[in-house]
This record gives sequence, C-alpha cells and structure tokens, in this order.
Amino acid sequence: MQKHASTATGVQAVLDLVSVYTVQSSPDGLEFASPGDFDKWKIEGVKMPERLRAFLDDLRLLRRIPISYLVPDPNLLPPESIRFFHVNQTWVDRVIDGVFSNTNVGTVDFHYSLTTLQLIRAAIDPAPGGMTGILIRSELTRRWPKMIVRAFASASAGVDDESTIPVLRAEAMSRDIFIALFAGQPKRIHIREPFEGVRFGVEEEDDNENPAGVYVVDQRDQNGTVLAGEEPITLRSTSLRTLDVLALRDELADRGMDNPRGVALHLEQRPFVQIFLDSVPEPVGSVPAPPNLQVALHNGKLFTLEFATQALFKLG
Amino acid sequence: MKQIFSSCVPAVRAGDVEPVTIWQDLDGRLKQDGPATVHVRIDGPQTSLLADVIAGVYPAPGSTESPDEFLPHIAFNRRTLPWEREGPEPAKPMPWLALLLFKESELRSAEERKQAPAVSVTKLRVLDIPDLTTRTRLLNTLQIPGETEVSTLTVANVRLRQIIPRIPELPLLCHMKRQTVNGVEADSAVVIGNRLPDASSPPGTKPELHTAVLVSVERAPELFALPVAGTTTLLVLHHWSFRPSKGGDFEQVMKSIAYRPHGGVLRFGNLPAPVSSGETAPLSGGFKGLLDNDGYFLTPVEHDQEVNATYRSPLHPFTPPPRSHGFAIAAAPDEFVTADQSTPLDFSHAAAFELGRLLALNDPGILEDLRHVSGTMKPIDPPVAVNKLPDALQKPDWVVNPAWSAQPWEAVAGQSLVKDESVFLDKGIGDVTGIGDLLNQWNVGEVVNTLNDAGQAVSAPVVAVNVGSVTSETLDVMFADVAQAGKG
Repeated sequence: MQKHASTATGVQAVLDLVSVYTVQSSPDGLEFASPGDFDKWKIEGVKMPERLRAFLDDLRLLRRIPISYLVPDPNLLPPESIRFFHVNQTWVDRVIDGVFSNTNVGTVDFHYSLTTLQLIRAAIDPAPGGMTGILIRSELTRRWPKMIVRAFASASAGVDDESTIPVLRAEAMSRDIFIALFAGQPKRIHIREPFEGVRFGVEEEDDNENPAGVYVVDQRDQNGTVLAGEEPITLRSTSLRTLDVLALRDELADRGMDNPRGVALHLEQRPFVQIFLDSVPEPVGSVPAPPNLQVALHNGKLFTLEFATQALFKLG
Repeated sequence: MKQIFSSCVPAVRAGDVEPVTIWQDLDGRLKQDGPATVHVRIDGPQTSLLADVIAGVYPAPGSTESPDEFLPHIAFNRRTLPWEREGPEPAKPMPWLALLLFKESELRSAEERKQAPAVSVTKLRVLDIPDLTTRTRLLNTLQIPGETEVSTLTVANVRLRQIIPRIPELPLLCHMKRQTVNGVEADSAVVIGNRLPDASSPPGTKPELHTAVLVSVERAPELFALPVAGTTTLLVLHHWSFRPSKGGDFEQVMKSIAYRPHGGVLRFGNLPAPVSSGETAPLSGGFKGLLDNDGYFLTPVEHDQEVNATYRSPLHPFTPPPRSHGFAIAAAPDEFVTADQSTPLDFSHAAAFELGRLLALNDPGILEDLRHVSGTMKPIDPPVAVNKLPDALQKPDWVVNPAWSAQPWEAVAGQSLVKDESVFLDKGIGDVTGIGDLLNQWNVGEVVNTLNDAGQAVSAPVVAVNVGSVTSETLDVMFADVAQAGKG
C-alpha cells in the first residue's frame, strides 16, 4: 500500500540522501566530501547545454582566467623565458564550484547541485591523472604564435606514436605569452616552428672568422639528407643581395646535383624542432652569455646574440 | 613523403597548335581514316593568373616577421605552369616565369611613398603600354589582342639589369614538388626568387617594404640585355608585399632564451640567477627563486587585507597535493573571518571559487544554462527469463538462462541443459533436449512392449441417438464397453 508523503517522510528523505556525503572542514571552509559512489545514484552522466560545456572546458584549461591569477608576480615569467609547471587541479575544481554556486538557493537545490558537480567533474575532466604545462614569454610567441607543441611519455625518440601525451591546449594567451597544457607529465617536449610549407633560403656565417654577409647552405645528398659539410653561396651583388645561382649549381656539379632539383634541395630550409628533455640538468636552462656572444646552432654554425640584445629586449 | 623534380614539361606547350589525325585499324583487316586532321591549340594562362592556380606564396602577404635569410617563392597547383610556354631562349626548354623582388625605394620616389603606403601595379590595355618594346612583343610576338587589360610594372633599366636572373638561372629557380599524404599525391610547381630581402634599417625605423613580382618573360630575350638608360614595363601575373625581419629565425630566438639576461628555461618559480655562495636554492637547479616547494611566495606579495592573507598560483613548481574530492560551497568561510590576524590564511582556493562565481555571473547565457543541467539515468537492464515456479518446486536444471540457448552444451555456472556432452554429441543434432536419456531412464523398451500387448481397442460403431426418446437402458446397450469400464 502506498504511503502518503508527509513532512516527516520528506525530511527523512533529504537526510537520507545528504547523509552519504561527509561534511568536513577544509582550507576552503566547509566542504562536502563526495561519496564517490555513482552506482547508488543510478545516474551515468550529465546533460548540459553545449555553451555551458564549452565554458567549463575553457575553465578547466585555464582559459578565461586572468593571467595575474596564474602568474601573480611578473618575475615568475620574465621576458624571454620558458617555465615548466604542474597544475593544481583542486584550484580549478574550486573555480567550477564557484560557477555552480550561483545555483545554490535552497536546501534541496543545494543538494542537487552537489550531485551535479560530481557528475560534471567527471564529465569535463581532461586529465584525471594530473596536468602539467609550459609557459613561454618570448619573441617566439609574437612571431610564431602557431608554433606546434608535442609531448611524449618517453625520453627517447622512435616510439613517438606509442608514447604521445595529449596536448590539451597550445595557444598564445597574449601578444607574447604562449601556454601549453599536457594530460600527464611528459618526459620529452617538442616545440616546432610552425609548418608553412616549404621555404628556401640561406644561412649567414655569423662568426668572428667571417665578415657579415657571408652565406652558406647545408650540403645535401640526392635524397635531401643533410650532410656534414656546407656549400658557399656567392652573391652577384652584395648590396642588392642577389644570389649567383649559377655559382651554386657549379658547386654541386661534383656530386651530380647541378640541376634545378639539386639547387632546390640545397636552398630548402626545414622547420626547426626544439626538444626539451626532463633528463637534462636544469642549470643549463639559464647560463651566462658567452664572452664573444657566439652560440652554436643545431648544424654547428654559430650565430651572435647581438641581435637578441637589440631585438628581444624591447619586451617590457 | 616529398619528392622534388627538376621540371615538369608538358607534351604540348600552351599556345602551340597541335595537329590531331584520327584513324582506326582493327588487326590489319579493317583500316579506316577519320575526317581531315584537326588542329588543337592548348590554352593556358598568359597575361593573368586565376587565384585557384596559386597554391601559396612565401613570405605571407603583409607579414613583417620573415627572416631576411629566406627567399620569396610562389607555388602553383598547376604543376606544368612554368614550362607551359616558350621562355626567352627558344632553343631550350626554359621557364617563362621569373620572380623578382623589389624594395619600395627602387620603385617609387620618396614623395610617392609618402602619398601611398604600398606598391601597386598598373592596369593597362596592351595598346596603351608606353614601353614600345614590350607593347610590340605582346601585340606581335605573342599575338595578344590590343584591348586585353594586363597588370604592368615599370622599372628603371639600371635596377632591372642588376636583379633579374640571368637566362641560364631561370630553370634553376623552378622545380616541381610532389607531396604524398595518406597515399594521395599532390603536385605543385615552384618558382623561387633570386634575391634576399634586406631587413637593415636606420635605428628606430622599420625595414623597408618589399614587393615580390611574378613576371612573364615569354619569348622576351630583350629583358636580359637591357640598355642602361630608360625604363622597362614588365607584364605582371602576380605580386605581393611584405616587410622582412632582422630578428633571427625560430632556432636563433629559441636558443637565445637560455642565455642571461634572458629569462631562461626553468622550473616555475625559479629566477634566472644562481644563488650566492653558501646560499641554498629554494627550489632547484641552484637558482634563486620566488616560491617554496609548495608554491607559496617566500616573500609574501603585498596586499591591503587586514588578515595575514596569502595566495598561491594554481601553477606549482612541483607535483601539487592530492586532488580534493570535495566540493566547496562558500567563498567566505567563518574560520577566515574569526581567525587571528597573525594566522597565515591561504585565500587561493577561496579566490578561485569567487572567480568562478563572478565569471558565471558575468555571462547571462551561462547563468541561464546552469538551470538546464541534469543527470542522465542509467538505462534499465534488459529483461531476463524468470522461473515463476515456487522455490520448493524448482530444480536447478529447470532454470532457463538465455545465455545457454546459443550453446546449450556449455556448462554455465555448472547448470548446463546437457549433463554429459559426449552423450549429447553421440545422439546427434536432433536430440538436443536429452529426451533419449530420459526415455532410457524410464525403461522405454518395457513401455513399448506393454503397449503392444494391450491389443486393439474395439468399440461399437457410433449411431445416431435421438435425444427425445433415449433412455438409460438404451445407452447401456449402445455404449456397453464404456458402461462396463465405469462399473469396473
């Protein structure tokens, strides 16, 4: 026989439901601990408007959060710097809690919100195992805002496909600040110059042994593989910076590459990939500039930091 | 995968007339000539390019960041385009396109540059081209109608002589590229410029604007032997402008970050300066730092709160504490209000809570959406067969499990319909219920014999019974065997 609802049974029902939560004190104040048992609720997910889901997804990935909340002191991210960090997921949970606190207008509504929060937290969590990331404040962001970031769980190359860690966010936050977030803790991170199709060019021999305006290109074999040597580039006119393409062709003759294909292979400039490994000692991340300001590039060539002191220090 | 080819010369050049003769020959037994030879002229771009022919250009139009060590180039979706027409040297297969690069000051006077910010080409009818040599070539040599409107650029000969590639250089600056992505081949033709941009500029000024110009050199050997004096009008097929940069390429900018006084590549919270001798690094790497291991500021950030408030970023230098499973419900807990002013209070999570609340409040759409959040119920389990017999009457063998129907001989939870799989298999596929076994248990041979011994039942023929006159005696006679059995 069905019983009529009464004040007593209604209150008891609410008490029964709320009793599965543990009320506890926390650094945030009063906190309801989740029962962590979804089976009791016979609920398998949450349904919400797409706009709200996008809003919450953004918050989880630290979008819409003012930069001053992430970097409370500008010295934490000085000009021309890269910083690696872990994300405190509880902090982001609190932001989500704050969003839903706007619905808390009564006892029963309040309880419903707790259930909803529990479901939403599971539904929109992109990194249950933890989240890490990098911040880049640099000329890099201004000039290459679409640089490509990849992360791997293995420090050694060759198993990239198997060890890829999801990159949850990789975008410019402002004119010179770039952020990337990872679902886990990578052991290797690649930051690649954005792919803009093929580019052709030369490299300046910018060292003390050569005067300015001396250009070379990497030697390539028939397959386009970079060899150890380099080919000189002659200018028809130094002031007008026109290349002597015939001279380059003649340089390639001894390797049977004195044709348009050989010229194109040698002038081709491939995107650069910077690799960060967690096994590299941190002190090499910030070292004094060398006395002659000469820094080696990946192909052994040198470039001078002088341009950096002119071009990069304009950032405020 | 990517492949580079020196050229992709079409079988028939654009503009050439090709005779086509048709005949049919069937194994030597039937031979028939077609109609008179047909002359076909291959059409192709000559005075302008449609946008869909151009696959891309470098540097990007309007860009300001291309390093001055990169040459401009243009790529075409039409892989044969640079070799489709006759070049300046008819004896050799030679491209008819060249990519030239001009600085703004080489095309316009200082006064003109003040008046208009960018270089633009001039649209003219062929008949109106002031340069007699070019006009004659277009009208007479190339047979372009005089009313055709073309894009032109007039350049001083003294400069054009210095920057235009030499004739033998033209083929070296063109090639065909084949890119294979997911098994699909995509071909494109590329024309490279022969001149590096110049990013040098007086202090405080931007590098000069550069304009890349794709010009036609079709059957124009005179362009490569220009007199010093005078100007030449070029037929322009495409052009774009950009401003180069002296700021180094991607690798150089990236490498320079690690050198002080740049900020370095460090753990969040570290400063790009080593600790002094005898000092201990607060975080790692031997560097000075702003934070401790938990992400708190070593020197509290200044604030105007009455209590000893502190804040730490959600970005931590090391792995943060385990994630809380709780939910915050208030942003101003009482213990914060009543705490002693000397107690350090971490407002980080409270600030996050309030930030989330305010971000939602700031968007009426989000507030509305918050009313439309609901859980989705688990679907009801699919129905299963249930034995409706009372428990006392049930035998485990009678339980019907739908899972058994597919393979009744497999023992599911020890309750197979067939107890002995070998017996089942021996009986053949028709005896799927084990009836043979049951008959054997009942001694079926004896049953059959008893039935055979019973003899044939004999009954009197059924006759019509008049219900109006029938009596019990009559019935006893008509159905004597039944009456006898009933009495027995």
